[in-house]
Amino acid sequence: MKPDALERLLMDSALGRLDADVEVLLTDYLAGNPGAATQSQELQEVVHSATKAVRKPVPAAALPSPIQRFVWRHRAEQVLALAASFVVGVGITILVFTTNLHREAAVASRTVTIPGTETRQTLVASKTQSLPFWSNQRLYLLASSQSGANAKEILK
Amino acid sequence: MQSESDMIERLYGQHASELYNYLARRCPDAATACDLLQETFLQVVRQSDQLAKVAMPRAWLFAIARNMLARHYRRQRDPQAAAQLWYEPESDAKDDRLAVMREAIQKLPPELRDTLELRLEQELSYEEIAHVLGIPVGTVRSRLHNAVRQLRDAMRSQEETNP
Repeated sequence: MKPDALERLLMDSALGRLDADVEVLLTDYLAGNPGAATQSQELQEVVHSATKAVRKPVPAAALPSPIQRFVWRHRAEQVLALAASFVVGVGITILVFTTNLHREAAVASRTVTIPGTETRQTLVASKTQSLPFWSNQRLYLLASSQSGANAKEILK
Repeated sequence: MQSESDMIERLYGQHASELYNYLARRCPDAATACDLLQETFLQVVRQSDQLAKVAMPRAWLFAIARNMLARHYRRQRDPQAAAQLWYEPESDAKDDRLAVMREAIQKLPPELRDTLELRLEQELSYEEIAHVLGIPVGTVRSRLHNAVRQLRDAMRSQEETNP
């Protein structure tokens, strides 16, 4: 048998992962090969010693209570997540609503600042002075500054 | 047909103890190990819809526990600690050979040490280890062989210096 193939078999054997039928064949082989048997013995000792090293005793502890607790905790998490989503949703709605109210109030206040009729007429008068007397633009400005019947008369 | 709750209950009964041992050997205290065990099974409950599809439940549980451990140490800003056993050198101070072996295991590259511990400590099969670590079975075998070879060499050199 090739040394590297033998070593692989011995490793798997030491690690306890060799198929039962292969293990029987290997045992037969080792019985007729003292060198390989020594190698096998050495690997077995290494693995045994390593197993002992990694399996240190653990501190005793009462394990968590039955599984129903986990199920309830999971359900509680789901309910909390739902409640949180609801709160966030309501919060966003309130925020949007409040913002819209503020916007409407701002628009309303801007409407109030529109110049009154007198001011508008003053503005029209100052603009019409710079326009030719019979120009359409002057007549339109004058008409738009008047209301109702006066406007119609000017446009006629 | 078993309900999901019954399946989880059965998994808990069969594997909680060994999962606790796995976690306790990697945590500074029993309380942390218990917390992580709870987190592991809480995760199982969260993923209970996958339970029927899980081919290797034991490996699946160890994979979750390992992730929980890694997450715990990531939060503690010490990700390297997740892969290490909490060795207690004073407990076996009389056994020189065991002390040398522990030192040799500590010196192994993390991926070899992790694979070796899953095999020797938890007795997971090569297939289960492959599932836990997310690597091919061939890689598990070669990692284990490399680890054992390095430990053998460490023991040989120790025996040569201290016959």
